[in-house]
Amino acid sequence: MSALPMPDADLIQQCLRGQRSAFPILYRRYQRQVRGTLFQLCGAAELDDLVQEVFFRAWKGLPKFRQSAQFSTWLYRIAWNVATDRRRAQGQARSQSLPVPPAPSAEPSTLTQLHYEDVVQRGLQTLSWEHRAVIVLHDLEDLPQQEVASILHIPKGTVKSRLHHARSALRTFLQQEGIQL
Amino acid sequence: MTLPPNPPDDDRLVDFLRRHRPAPPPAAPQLEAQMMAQLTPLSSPPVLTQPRRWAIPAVAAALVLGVGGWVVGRSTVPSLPTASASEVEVFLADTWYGSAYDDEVRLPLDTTQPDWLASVYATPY
Repeated sequence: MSALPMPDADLIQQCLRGQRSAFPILYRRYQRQVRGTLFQLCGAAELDDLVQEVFFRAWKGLPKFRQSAQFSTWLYRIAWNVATDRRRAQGQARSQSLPVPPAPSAEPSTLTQLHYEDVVQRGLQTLSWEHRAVIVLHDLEDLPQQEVASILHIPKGTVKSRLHHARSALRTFLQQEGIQL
Repeated sequence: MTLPPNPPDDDRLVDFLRRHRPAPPPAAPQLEAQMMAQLTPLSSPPVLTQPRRWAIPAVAAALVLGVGGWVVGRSTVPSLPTASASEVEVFLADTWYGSAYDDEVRLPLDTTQPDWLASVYATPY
């Protein structure tokens, strides 16, 4: 029987008491989500740097982290800020360009799968920054609407509205690409 | 504004996106180790610095002294004596009386009497 994983709050307390060894546990617990979100928002270029930046900011911000909040929501919020800062730094024009295509590391099952992945990636890129964010956080990361609202600091109704419009735009794009759902 | 209900193909769209979302490239092998090596010691939660710790009682003491001083000062400010009001009254009456009569006909004025003003009018010009 394996021991239950230590709660985030306990790990954070250990970090605050100076035990740095607790932070890699938090990193391993959430790096996949952070990495995936940043990749969908910003592409593959400088992905490692962006992930590092998120966890550096999280580490430095731990003393101010409110224990009543959810650590994952807070971390997603930092990831969103890092992605937004990077987008601003690069400028609107470059951010709209297609990201560097990911290396086919995960054994591509078929050419069709690769084609669909490319279509999804390009479809996300056609969306506005705000619409892309709600699709990534809600539909891909499977976060509840309320949590998405907390991460983006917008009302839940706005999340619903953006989700509606973003899905509609994606459906149109997929149809134009010859994909029938 | 009420949004229309989700179209029935929303679930199919989300399912398609999840199945075909591109996976991010793997992290550099040493990424975690590099990151952890660069963590600087955490600063303590923000606490009041020494001057600020003294500032609160200092401000409170200043307030107490200020308000107390104002109250005490207010109670010790000399108010106009009531006698001076009557003196002013006599002065005004004398001045007016003196301007109306020659010195030789000027009678002493006793303003302590209730009818002192009537006596003024009773005096012939």
